[in-house]
Amino acid sequence: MSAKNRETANVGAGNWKGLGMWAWILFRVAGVVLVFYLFAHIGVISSARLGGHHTMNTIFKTFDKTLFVLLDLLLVWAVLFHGLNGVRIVLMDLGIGITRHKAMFWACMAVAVVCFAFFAYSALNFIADKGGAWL
Amino acid sequence: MPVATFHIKRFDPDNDDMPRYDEFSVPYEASLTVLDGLFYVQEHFDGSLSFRYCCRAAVCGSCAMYINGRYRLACQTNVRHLDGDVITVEAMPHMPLVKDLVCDMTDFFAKYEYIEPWLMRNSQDPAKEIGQTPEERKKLDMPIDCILCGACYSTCPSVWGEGNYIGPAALLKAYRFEVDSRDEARKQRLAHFDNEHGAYRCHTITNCVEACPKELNPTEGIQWLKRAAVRRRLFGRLK
Amino acid sequence: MRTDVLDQSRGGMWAWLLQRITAVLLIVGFASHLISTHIMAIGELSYDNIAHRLASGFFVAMDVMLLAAVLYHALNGARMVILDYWLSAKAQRRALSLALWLVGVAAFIYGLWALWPWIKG
Repeated sequence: MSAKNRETANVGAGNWKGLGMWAWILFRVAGVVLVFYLFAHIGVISSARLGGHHTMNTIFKTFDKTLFVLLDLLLVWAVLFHGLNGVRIVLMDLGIGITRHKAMFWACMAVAVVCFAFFAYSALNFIADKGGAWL
Repeated sequence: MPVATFHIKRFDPDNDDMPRYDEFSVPYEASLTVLDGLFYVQEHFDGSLSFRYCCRAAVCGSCAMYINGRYRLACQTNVRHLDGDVITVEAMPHMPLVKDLVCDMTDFFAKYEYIEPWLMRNSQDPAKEIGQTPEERKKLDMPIDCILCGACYSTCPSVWGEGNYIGPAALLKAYRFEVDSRDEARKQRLAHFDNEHGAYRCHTITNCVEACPKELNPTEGIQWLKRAAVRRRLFGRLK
Repeated sequence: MRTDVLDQSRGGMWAWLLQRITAVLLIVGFASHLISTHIMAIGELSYDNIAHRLASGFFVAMDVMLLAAVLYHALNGARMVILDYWLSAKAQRRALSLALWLVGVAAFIYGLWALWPWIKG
């Protein structure tokens, strides 16, 4: 009975803290979300050739609904987080700032927040102007 | 005399399904380390308490534990320097348990051995010692301080995965021989870290840097190895 | 002992390096992609708008480049996530890579097909 417990009793008790760790977890989550989005995006764009102008415009009408604009905003955050944390990782790969990676993380996040604020402003304006139904 | 409460994670593989916590009161004076506290518990309360130790001077790496939520060497952690009088002592998280505070380090050392952690030379040895300039020696300052306590290995989420990642400690050692001007086994060493389960399995999470009780930076070494692999395979440079 | 797998998993530099190269391409590419789609044409998501943009050869070339880079980056990223937790044997890793290459090439061809009216010019 115990051989298996020996292996598993302490597993999951891991050190679940540290900025680098959570940056990585969110980086992964955003990355996986973006993989799924990529295929959805290819599908939507191909609708123009698959079904013609009208099909594409019908799909786009759905995307103007408030819920989708907000989802789009979530997507923008995923892109910004993944992209700017990615900048930090590429810099670390080049050997730049490994000892100062936390400061680099917050600098990258500052850039991400500024960009996000811009997109959020546009999206909220869009909802105020044109948004009607939730779905 | 002040009294510290030792909150110790216990696990007996013969009787327990899951670990439990036992509490012991340990009176202490100025110089009590956590390791001394564990001895006190063993002598006065429970002789079956198991833990590893050896040098008691922070150079052997045997007594790495998870103390008050941080990786520390029990022998160099003074009870007075910890916040409060309640001290939680646990085995290194996420490692297979042998008993109580003793982890199974088999995989850790097998992987360490895999990178052939010794000096390898092809050329004739000089009559006296192999000389090094101060600059060449300086490159070894950081990685040479590793005492193989396993804290980085225990805290690395890449190690928590499917289990074959060679781990930060072994890669840091690979780096230590890569930057050693006396070592001549460049080609042989490349295969150790230029590996799907080697350097590329590191995702620069930097948990190892946080965990290291000797304040080393394994991530820096691993990143250097990745670039060394590119330099060597794309540009044929050996250094 | 767990070091036998290490002997069977040598290599991996190209996947790592290409992940970084495509990352840099994507940072630049997405900046321009997002600016051109969200800022220059905000609120005008429609076929005409996209067709108008794609009339320019620069944007078609950009989209094809982005498609290739993002497919590599995404599928290699998925491979990294999967390999972190499952499939340690060499044959399994090979099979995964092959499957992901097939998905990637198919998606790239499909994407080219979707963009064909503009590629043709």
